[in-house]
Amino acid sequence: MDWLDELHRRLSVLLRRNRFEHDLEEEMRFHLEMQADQNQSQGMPTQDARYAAQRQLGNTTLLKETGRQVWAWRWIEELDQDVRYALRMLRNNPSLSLVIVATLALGIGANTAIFSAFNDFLLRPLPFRDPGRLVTVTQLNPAQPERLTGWASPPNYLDWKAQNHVFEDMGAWDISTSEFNLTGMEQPERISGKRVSSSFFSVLGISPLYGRLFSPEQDHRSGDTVAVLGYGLWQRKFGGTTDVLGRKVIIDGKPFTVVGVMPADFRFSTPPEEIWLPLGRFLPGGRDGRHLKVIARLKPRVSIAQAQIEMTAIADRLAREYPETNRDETALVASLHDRYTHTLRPALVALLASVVLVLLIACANIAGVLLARAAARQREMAIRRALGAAKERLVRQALTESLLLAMIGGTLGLLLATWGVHLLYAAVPAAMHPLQPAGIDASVLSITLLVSILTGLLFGMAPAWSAAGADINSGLKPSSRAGASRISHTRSRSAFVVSQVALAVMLLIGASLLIRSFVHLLQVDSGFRAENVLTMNLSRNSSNGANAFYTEILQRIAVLPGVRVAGAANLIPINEQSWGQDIYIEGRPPRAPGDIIWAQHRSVSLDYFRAMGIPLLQGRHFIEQDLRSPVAIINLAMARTYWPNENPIGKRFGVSSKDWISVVGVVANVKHYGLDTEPAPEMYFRESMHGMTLVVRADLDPTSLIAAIRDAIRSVDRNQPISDIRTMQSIISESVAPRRLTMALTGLFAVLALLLAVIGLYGLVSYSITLRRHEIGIRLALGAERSDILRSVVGNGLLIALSGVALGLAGAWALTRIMTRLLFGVTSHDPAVFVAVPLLVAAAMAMASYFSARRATRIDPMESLRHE
Amino acid sequence: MQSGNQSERSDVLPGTLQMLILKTLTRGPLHGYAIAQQIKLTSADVLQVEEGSLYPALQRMLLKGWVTAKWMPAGPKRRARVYQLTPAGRKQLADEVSGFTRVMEATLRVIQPA
Repeated sequence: MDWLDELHRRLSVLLRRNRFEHDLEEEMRFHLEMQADQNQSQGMPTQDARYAAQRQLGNTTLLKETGRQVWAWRWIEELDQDVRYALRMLRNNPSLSLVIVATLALGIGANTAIFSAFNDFLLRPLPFRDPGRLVTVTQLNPAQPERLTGWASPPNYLDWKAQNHVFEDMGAWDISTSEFNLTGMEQPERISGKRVSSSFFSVLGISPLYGRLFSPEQDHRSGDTVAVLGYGLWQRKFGGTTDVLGRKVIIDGKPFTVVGVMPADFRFSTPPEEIWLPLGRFLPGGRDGRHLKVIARLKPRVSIAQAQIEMTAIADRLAREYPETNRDETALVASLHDRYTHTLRPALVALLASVVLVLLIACANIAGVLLARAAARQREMAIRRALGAAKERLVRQALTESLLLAMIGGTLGLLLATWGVHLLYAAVPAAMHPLQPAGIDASVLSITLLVSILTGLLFGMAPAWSAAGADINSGLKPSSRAGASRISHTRSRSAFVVSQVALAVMLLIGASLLIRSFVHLLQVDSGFRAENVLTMNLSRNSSNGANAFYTEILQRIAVLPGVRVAGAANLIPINEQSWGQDIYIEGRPPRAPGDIIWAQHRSVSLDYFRAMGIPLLQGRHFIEQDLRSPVAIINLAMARTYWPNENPIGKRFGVSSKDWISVVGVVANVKHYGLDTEPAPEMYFRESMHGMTLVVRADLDPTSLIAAIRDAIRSVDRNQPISDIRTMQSIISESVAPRRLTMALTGLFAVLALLLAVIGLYGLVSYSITLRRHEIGIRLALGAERSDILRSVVGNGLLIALSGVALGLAGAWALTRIMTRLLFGVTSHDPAVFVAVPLLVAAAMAMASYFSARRATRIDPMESLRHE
Repeated sequence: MQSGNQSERSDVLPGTLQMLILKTLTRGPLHGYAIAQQIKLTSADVLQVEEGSLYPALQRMLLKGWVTAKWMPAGPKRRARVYQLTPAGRKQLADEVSGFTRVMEATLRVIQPA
């Protein structure tokens, strides 16, 4: 490789540059001496001979330069010079450099941390084969609230699968069971898992680490007892040995044969599933039982829109064919990626936007500081230009300095970010972590590098041009002050401060809206009292005897010292899960097409309402005799929806084909799906499902009771797994964790922004005083009042600040609309925020310019006049 | 420059300096001054090497790997940097000579009456 040899020669000469210079020098001297000798031997006098030789050879300095250029290091040398010079400048003013580098490290670090979360959640492709072609297909009724629909009935799934021409394959999992009892090992355990169709894995393109997955026949055969272990469970319970294949595990009381193990890096949810069972008996089933989630792989070159057209047609056909169950149902095709991103996307976008704003403000600040320094160095620049330095060269030198600062800041920022990402993920509940939290990877690194360079260019541009623009003439005059270029400096600094203040106002308004939302959220009446309540999940292997079991343990727990009351429910707040049923109301005509008459089905124990602190509004509580008798307690929403302006007590309604059910009581609405959601109609029955959540209200801290409660449960059944032991307060706290984090971070960024803007204005005002020192001195000497001077300086500062505030208000008014999805209980144009924030910023700015301006009044007129 | 002999002397043709240096070096290693003298001598004083361009040209050839350089003693307390042709240099010379000849012949055919 010629060019490689050449590069090698270039480098080896580059590394021995001193010798190269020396060689060239000696070689030319030798030439000159030889020529001079010859000239002399032809009879020239010694001196003339030497001059003649020199003339013949030419300008040796230039020749050396040309020789050097052959090896193409000029730019390296200049870079080297520029970097050395820049380092010297940074060292000359260590406190300034430190402030700039620290600002950049914080700004770039915050950006890197937020971006890496953004990358983890939103950008990285899913860890499945060809993930761009994976979609979810959901059956939904456009008239119903979003969260209450979205699952497919097994026959619909089978029809979709058979009739479509757009998907390579379709797979499904059952959403009704996501946890299983694992027994028969030392410790009974509740593990997460899914029942999936055989095609589930092939749609994702995943093969097992060991053994095999499910066969298509298993989709329809009931009683097929094979299982695939998740990697984690395999390691944890089976020590990662390969002879696990063929062994039996007891799942929900039934033996299953292990046929395969999933690979370590396979995860479909967070935290990852630990066991996979065949869908089997769930596949045949009624068209009204909707409990399947469906994923599919698009055929190559088929778009989501094309698939949607086909699925809409199939859904319409099914609606005509089965009007009873499918009348208003349609099928929605969406990218599988959305399943993982849709909840966090708005928060992450808002965070990224605010952190970018902070960095922009920081850039404006640094640019302002560097501009001031450039003004101070104007003489130096003028001298250098007079000595022949090219304008481009000076620009490049100034930019090198900015880029160097940005790079140092960026490197430190990266270090901060590794730590920041860690903190970020620690603050989010594990269940909300991204599928693959990679943190800082190559793409984050390159973005950080890019951001550092852009930052450097951004804040370096203005000082660089001002350095190059130095007017040689006025710059060299010793007494030139307040020249045109200085005024233009002040003008561009003012522009920076205006934009800083504007950005800070926008950020503060955004953050205040989030804070107000959060406060609203915490003040929401949840419908229950969370203090001193402990919850834990229990599950029996079947519904048989479940009631006797739960009654027994609740009685034992209720008498424990420190326990006030104990209850249980199949689904407690705050939980995404729900079980809606169509109902019909006595004395009303049957459902008309398009009518939705339904309620959420909830199973509770005798004392559940008292344990959860849900107030009874009307009627009575459950009593022992209500077990299996047709009575229900309903929530206020159900009473208002179906018996408006009527007394609901004693009214009757039906669920499927059972007897009429009488309403015996009305309880308050409970925010079951989250504090920021609206209550749905709910009916509570006195019954026990096989899986229930215990709710124990204690006198004091309920966590101290965990051991006693566990003993009480084990004394009834020593094989009973207990999972998810949590206090109600931590459940609430986790449910608002993403909001809290978004709010806290945006708030932090907004405060930083305000601080930076304050510093920016302070710096500008004090700089303007330095420039006007002479003038102020004269004014004072002529008898001006110090208070007048103070007023004029503060007034100038405030004028700049207020233009920024006005600009920021306008920007916020236009932009906050995009954060509507993040708000709760406030509008994006909340008047209180839009009044308070500008006032706050204006006050802060007034303080900044006042304190900065006070220096002006301390100017001694004599001294300032003598100074020049 | 000695203006008197201007008419009999010519600068080397543009682009041929490299070829002349390479050719000169086929006779053996030489230092820069000697190369310039040789070219002048061999061309019977017709070709005048612009000495200024000699050294940058030599640097370029070093970079390309056509010549190597080493220091040799040259008289008392003096040493000379001597350039030697490499195989790559010989190949380059052959290429340049054939290219030059082709152009020369074609040029001559055009300017000489048939």
